[in-house]
Amino acid sequence: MSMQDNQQALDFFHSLITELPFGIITINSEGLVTLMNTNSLLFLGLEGSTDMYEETNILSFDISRKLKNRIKSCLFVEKNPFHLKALSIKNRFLNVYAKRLLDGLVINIIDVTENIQMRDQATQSLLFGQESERKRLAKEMHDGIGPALSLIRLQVDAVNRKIDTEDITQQLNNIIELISNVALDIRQISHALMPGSLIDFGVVSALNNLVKQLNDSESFDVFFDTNMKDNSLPKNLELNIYRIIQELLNNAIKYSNCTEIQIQLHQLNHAIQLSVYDNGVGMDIEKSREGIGINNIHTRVKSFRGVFEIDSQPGHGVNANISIPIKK
Amino acid sequence: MKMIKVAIVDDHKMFRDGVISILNEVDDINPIWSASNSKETLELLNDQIPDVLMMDLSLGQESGFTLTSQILEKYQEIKILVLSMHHEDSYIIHILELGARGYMLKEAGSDEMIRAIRVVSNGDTYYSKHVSDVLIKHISSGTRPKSTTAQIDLTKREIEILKLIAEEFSNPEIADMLYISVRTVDTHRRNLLDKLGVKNTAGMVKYAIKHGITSS
Repeated sequence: MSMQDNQQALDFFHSLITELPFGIITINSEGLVTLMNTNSLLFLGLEGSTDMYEETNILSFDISRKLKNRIKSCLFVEKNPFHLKALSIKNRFLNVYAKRLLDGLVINIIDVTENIQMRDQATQSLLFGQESERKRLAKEMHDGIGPALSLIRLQVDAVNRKIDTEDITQQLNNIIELISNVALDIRQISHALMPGSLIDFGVVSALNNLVKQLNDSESFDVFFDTNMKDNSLPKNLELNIYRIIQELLNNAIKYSNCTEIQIQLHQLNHAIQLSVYDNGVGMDIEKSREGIGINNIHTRVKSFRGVFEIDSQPGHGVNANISIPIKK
Repeated sequence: MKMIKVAIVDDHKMFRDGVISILNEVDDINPIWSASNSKETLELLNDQIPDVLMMDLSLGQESGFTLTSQILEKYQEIKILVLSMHHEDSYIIHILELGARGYMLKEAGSDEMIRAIRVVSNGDTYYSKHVSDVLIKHISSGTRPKSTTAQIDLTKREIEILKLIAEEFSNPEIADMLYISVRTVDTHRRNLLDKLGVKNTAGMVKYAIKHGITSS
């Protein structure tokens, strides 16, 4: 091959690298950048042009600490390839793959922001579908079966008034009692599926009702503190907030053996912040992560780009914090 | 004997008919009409005004709250007796605030219904047992459940993080100490700025020192 051919091949190679639809960075054994394309700058949210970064150490870049740590350990410690999925960097989500190349690394960066957005949307549609179905069932019971039972009760009453045989009256009274029990069951199931106040009023009323109900019936005290009003958020978010708190309360009630539960729900300038903690026996967070309840909360929070944090120490209860960003 | 004129508003025809057939057998009660929605109700009110109007809160797509306000605006003398499936406090308190004179749960029997009609037609108020329990609590403690403190409510975690910020630890350091991600620390930090109403880290540190939130 002649010199000219060599140069042509090199140019071709360079334009290929530049035009690639993903980011690519190669570094040598010390972490100095030997080659990078413009997409890698764009995806990592770095200012300037590629030549500003060539020959500089990648560990000095203004990029996520998590990514730098992985690169560092890949270069100097374990030397295994790595694959970071959906890494959140400055408004983007990136998949980052690194492989050994000669004595350095080649790092591929793929922008998956759109996929993540679609995934979040799909999750929310799924959750919303579930809630609509629950709402439909709850309404059917509450507005359909409930009144029908009330009517049956009234009719039996009417018959009862026309009869003065004592044993028949007694039997009718038994029937009335049975009807009342079924009506109570229907009401409780309907309420568990979807509290009427959540739909007709909003998340604050629904939580107030829930807290009161617990304070009336359970042996522990529940404190609820909020600076919010009903319907100040989109319905979908209100529903999710209610479900999250319900799930956390369920955990506390079932496992914590606590005497006190604190719930806080605050609307801040940029976020909704909620926390639930109890003073119970605590739990093994690693184990509970596998549980459906905690997983559900993760799914809900993630679909709103929020942060969910839960920790616990034996004897010191469970402390759950959630922050969900809101647009103003 | 004075006859009590009663009207019924409920979106279930079966239920309306059932109630009417029961009230027809009561000597001092005269069911004058029944309606299934707001429009019908307002039209019928033009013709004949009842003493007592029994109303469900859920009227299909319409709400008994709106209808109650509409009726009482024009006909203050009508006594509205709510007949509802709803047990939750919000419904009870809201509709009574709007001016309903009684609140009965639909599961009540006919004896209670007749008693309630007589009581409200006399100008008194009538509440089912459960409803009066709710009201007593509402009056004695307010609708809001007990809250922790009046001052700014920081969560346990926020106090922990504020403490570390006041001790000059950086976000990555705090993340390592608490086994959480830097993003989470950053979220807490922003929440703290919002909650304390301060502009920057210096403001947070000042708050921490003033309120004794430091470990040294």
